[in-house]
Amino acid sequence: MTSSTAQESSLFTELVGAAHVRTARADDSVGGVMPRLVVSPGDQSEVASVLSAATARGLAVVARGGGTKLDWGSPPERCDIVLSTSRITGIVDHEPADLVCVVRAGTPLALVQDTLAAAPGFRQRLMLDPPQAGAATIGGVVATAASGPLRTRFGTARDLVIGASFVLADGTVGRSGGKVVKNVAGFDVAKLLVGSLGTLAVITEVAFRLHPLPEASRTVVLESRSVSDLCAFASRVGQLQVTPSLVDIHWPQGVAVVRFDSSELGAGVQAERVVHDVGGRVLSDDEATTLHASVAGSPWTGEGTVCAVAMLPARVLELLSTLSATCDAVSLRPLLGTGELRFAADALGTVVEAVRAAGGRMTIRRGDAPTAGSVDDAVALELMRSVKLQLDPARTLSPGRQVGGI
Amino acid sequence: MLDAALQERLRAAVGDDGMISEPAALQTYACDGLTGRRVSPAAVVLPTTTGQVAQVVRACAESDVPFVARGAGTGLSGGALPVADGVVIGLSRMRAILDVDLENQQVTVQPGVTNLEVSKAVRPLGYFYAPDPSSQQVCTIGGNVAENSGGAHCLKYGFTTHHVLAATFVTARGEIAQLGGSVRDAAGYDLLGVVIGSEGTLGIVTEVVLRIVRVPESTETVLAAFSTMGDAGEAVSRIIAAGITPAAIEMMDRLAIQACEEIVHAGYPDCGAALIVELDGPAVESSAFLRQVLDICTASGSTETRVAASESERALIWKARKAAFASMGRISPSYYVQDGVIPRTRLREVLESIGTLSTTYGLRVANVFHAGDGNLHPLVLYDDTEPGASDRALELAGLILESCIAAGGSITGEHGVGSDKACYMPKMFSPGSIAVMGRVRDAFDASDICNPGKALPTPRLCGEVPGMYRPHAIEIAGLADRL
Repeated sequence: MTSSTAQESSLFTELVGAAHVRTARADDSVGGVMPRLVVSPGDQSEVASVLSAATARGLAVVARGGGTKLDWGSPPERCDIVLSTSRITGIVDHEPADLVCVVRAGTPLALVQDTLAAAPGFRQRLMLDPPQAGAATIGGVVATAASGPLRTRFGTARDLVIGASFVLADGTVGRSGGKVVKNVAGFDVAKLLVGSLGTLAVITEVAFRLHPLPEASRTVVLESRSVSDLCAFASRVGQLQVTPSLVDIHWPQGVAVVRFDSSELGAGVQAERVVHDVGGRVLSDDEATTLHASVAGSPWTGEGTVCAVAMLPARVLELLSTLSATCDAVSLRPLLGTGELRFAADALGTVVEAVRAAGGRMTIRRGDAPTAGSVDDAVALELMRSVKLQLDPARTLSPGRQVGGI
Repeated sequence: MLDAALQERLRAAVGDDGMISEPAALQTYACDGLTGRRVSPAAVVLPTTTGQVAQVVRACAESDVPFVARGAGTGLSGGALPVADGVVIGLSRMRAILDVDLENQQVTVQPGVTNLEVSKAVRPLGYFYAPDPSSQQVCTIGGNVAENSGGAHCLKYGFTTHHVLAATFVTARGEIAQLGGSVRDAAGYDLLGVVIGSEGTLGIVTEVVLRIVRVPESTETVLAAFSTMGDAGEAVSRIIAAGITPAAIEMMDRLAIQACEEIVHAGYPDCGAALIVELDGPAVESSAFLRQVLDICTASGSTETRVAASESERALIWKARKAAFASMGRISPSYYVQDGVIPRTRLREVLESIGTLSTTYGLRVANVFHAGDGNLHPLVLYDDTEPGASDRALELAGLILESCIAAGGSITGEHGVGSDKACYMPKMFSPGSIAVMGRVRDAFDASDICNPGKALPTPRLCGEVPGMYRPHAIEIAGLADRL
């Protein structure tokens, strides 16, 4: 430990206690940048004192939850301290009859789901199913805007967060929204934090809108080796008067999967409608479980570069046709025009070109050169810089991780 | 009065027919739906293109003259209240639907298009635009974006923020930016997310890409009568607890029902509380939920239930509900509408406290609300010719908001803070939270000329509240200290 590290260590020890400051190890590195210390504040006010102390000394801080998506975004240009939210945990409030819960940022998503599903007299769920969810925490899922198949019906964290508490780099503690779903008082600052990659504030608590767990689920699948059949099927499902929870295409599995979560009657009748009007077949519960398990985590499982893509729904077929041979795995939400691809590192150029040709955008999530993507509009980028300058002028929080080196 | 040079610049930007500066004509723009607050602007401009809006804003910015964007002026919180000596930018001439893209389920519109026009344009194709504020026949998409408008059906379908994919945005300096995108997952910060609902204080949207939704296969509408609001509230709780997500759940009390019946004659039963529950989805499912809802209503003490047997019966039920504010004129010379939100589970106690306040103040309060999401619209009735009555009504309305905040709710669910409730913000948010919002505002409009004095409290409007100070960026960076 160098003398400056020792000084910093004793400073943070004073703020959070010796047991909660440690020297960083190799596996604490963030995008290849080694921090010196890992500091674990116990509550929001400790987060505030850690951040204001770091800012006063010009130290860079990267907030970390479960660390499952720490390589999302560009590598930080500096990282002195990892601020772990591992002690800021717990469900603060869950009022099942209001379909709302308030959760501290370091709480694992899985724990939240288990608690909600077990509330006496109610069975509820937070409709977020991000990839690589293992140890993912609420704060991390919000900061990365990570989403999964359920996005087709329920949206992303952006659509489910109804309030957030956070701490700015100067120690200012703020909150936006509240714990009622319908609320337009004040600016929706939480929207800026969703997907901010930790560059604006450290999220300490999030309030969510919940949904009831469905009484029944029915899955319809179309199996085909033709990408155009799969895309045509999905697109026609999107035009039916039905409300699927997910509509996904997986390649090379060659499946289009549609799931209805509703009442027993509602799920069944909608599944039958799809089969009757468009095609595919309804799976038995066992078959459905097997299918969902077989595509779960795709395309993240396996070696290679993973990138998120987005294009107009009408261009999905074009992209999939071009890339079905190039990519090792593709999982798309055709009704939204979003999804993820996995491919060998040397195929990057081909993928970039195909996405560009389909009028889409891509962000590398795992691989040699992860980025936060790029913003084409210079005025919009300038506004983003301006937001950063106002909220974190000293550039304490995850400097360089967001677009344009923000 | 604007200085002559600015006046000429504005005229050059929008043309003679887009410029209003006659004092009498300016009066039309002196207020929005909150008619008690009136300020005459120095000029009104009516641009027809994004480029014209940008030119107007640039001219104002370079002269340091404040401006206020305005749609149809139906807002109920004074969000479009002009600034004296400032410019109102009326977007009513930008009312083209620019593109209907069914394949991608998107529609691109100018901000002056009315909410209902969007649904009308796509309805024949089997789609609709989900947010449906009660003023949807006249209110505009631009105003909906500014206010993050909801409506009765947002219980199931969400608010404006869930249905806007992209916007062309004129910044407070008159530059043009593209926020969000027709292609999802635009990189960087979700600026559009914070612009929606910012009440026109961050800039002006001049083109909006909206998501449209497939019309559900079937819709069932129930009108249920209860002898008390408590019983109706109980039915609401049980419906939600049963895991049913209705498209809408609305409630009206006896006074509100009587007023609506005066003008709509929808045949509502004379009862202590009426509940409207709407269910939509696949036909077999909505009829199954309908049976369940009818059972719940009966079990909760409903004295009568009616199911709309036709589209016209459904329309009549809704017509009465949507006429609730307008009909208050039949039973009271004046009224003040509040927009508080409470957790659904606190409905009974908050209604009781509203009842107590009504008795204490000797003023009638009619209750109309979006019961499914706890959004109350108490209408405080008073006679403005009676000395002091309007102050008493405002005081009573303020106490209702305080009971909403105390119950863990919000001061506004859909009408916005505007100029009306800016001074209530410190009751709901800490000084730190308001300071952060102020810093976000500064990021977009450092000169404070874009709809100033709305949404956030200012010392000038609300007095020097401790903690109102916003640290300057230089102070935060540790480069200077405030002495």
